[in-house]
Amino acid sequence: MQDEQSLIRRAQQRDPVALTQLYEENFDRIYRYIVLKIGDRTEAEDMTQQVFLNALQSISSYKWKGMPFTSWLYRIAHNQVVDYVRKKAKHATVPLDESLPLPATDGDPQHLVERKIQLETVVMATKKLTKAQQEVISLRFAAELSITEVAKVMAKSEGAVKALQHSAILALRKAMSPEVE
Amino acid sequence: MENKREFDNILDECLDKVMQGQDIETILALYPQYAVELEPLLRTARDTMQAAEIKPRPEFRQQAGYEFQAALRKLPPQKTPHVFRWQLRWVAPVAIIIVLLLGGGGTVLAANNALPDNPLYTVKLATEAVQMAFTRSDLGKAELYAKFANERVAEIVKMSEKGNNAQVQNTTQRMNDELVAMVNLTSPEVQAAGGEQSLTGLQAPAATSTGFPPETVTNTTVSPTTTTTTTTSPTIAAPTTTTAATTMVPTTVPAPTATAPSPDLSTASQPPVATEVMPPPVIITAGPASSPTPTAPEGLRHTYGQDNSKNASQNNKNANKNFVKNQKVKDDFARKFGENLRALQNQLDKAPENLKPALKRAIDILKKGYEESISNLEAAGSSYIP
Repeated sequence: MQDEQSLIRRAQQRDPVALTQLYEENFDRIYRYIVLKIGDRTEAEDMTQQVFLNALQSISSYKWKGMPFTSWLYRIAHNQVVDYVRKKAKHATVPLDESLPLPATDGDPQHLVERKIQLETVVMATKKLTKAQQEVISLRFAAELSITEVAKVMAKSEGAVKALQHSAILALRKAMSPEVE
Repeated sequence: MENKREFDNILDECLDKVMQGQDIETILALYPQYAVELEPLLRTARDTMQAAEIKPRPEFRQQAGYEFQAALRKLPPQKTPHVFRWQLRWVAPVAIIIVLLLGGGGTVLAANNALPDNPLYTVKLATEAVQMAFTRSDLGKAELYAKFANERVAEIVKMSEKGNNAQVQNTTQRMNDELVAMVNLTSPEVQAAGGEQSLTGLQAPAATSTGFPPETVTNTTVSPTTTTTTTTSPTIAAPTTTTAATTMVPTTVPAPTATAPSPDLSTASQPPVATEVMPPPVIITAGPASSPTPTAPEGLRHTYGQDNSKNASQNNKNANKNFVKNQKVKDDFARKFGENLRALQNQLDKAPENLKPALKRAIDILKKGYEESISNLEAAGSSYIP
């Protein structure tokens, strides 16, 4: 924790090494979080980039006060997603299959197709969840945040997030396997 | 109610274990009384985690890194009290240089030997980025890229020994980017232009090793003798493209100047649109040739000898100096190429089958990168002769 605070302090003083380190450590996770939320690769790429540019502009205003930097970063990402969804509601959507990213695989084409279908299934299923459930699934399983971090991002108690996580997985299971009741 | 809370806590503990890669059966054995209820939830969670294992495209990752560095450079300076301002202006760069030169500084020092699977590896890459930013000449940058490529080879060998295929591939990609940058920086056009560029603070991002693009790269589809300059991510309307297009001699492009969007937390902006083209491989040309004694050819000394002006004489001296430096770098590259090739081939011989394709790719990239660079330096040397 002390190390992170020191890193953030250096980043706030525009230390390029510290800023680059924060960028490298969080970039892929923010990208995964956004992809699972919106299911569109191109948009997710642009938005991920924008999250870090926004963070760069605002980092001097970030105050520790018990809120981890990652939580602050995900709030920026969350705001980006909300903004995107609001704007997208007015426009036609891209077919999901064309817009999804290629998952990380060993290069085997068959495996790649299987993984793509798996991702598509999950993205479609999460869309049937409530906003809060979607958020907890994305933060927990795509961004791989701890319950404590998720609670900070969502401004909820850890107990509430755990309950939400439970209901979200149940709902996800139902959405992924409709025969399950 | 109490039972539900207890179950939520257990579920969360189990999920943490799933995220750490533990086997579901093993986890269920810890809570047999809840196993029936837990199992479908844990399987759903595991499937979701696996589906979400997505990586951004490498070319996008590079471009995004480049733009982040560009935005970083554009940040207004920190406001400091007027009395100390002139001193602080020097303190930061000098401190960074000292830390880098002496290898001092706890984290930086510790990160020097960090491998790609180590959390400190990002510090190592960031340190390389700063080193690159403080290197003045193109040839110097090329040498630094060669040094970084050496590091990458050592990392590939270590990751292969650990059986970490993913990191072998990631590191190979980094090495590819570094070699692409090296090839471009040694191109005859750049060398003929003097191989120098101005240093303006942290202007030049070090690119590849941090996932950022090299300042310029060689378009791979062209023939070995006609290299063109473009940005690393040929797909994206990169800030450097305009500069390169309007410059007669393609030199390294210092920094993007126009495209970093102005971020605003409250509104979504319109970032540049990316299209899909794979990052370029390196050009294949003739292999490394034995290098001549590093002295300028006779003709070189008379290149500008038709008039007797001081300028011509000075130009002649500079050209001679560049030629000698060029030859030294070429010899150094040939030596490093041999060492790195041997290291990778040794590793290939003893690596398990599943790692061999990745190692073969690394060898292929290494060969192409060094062969092209050495060929470029030879071409640059011959261009001195009138």
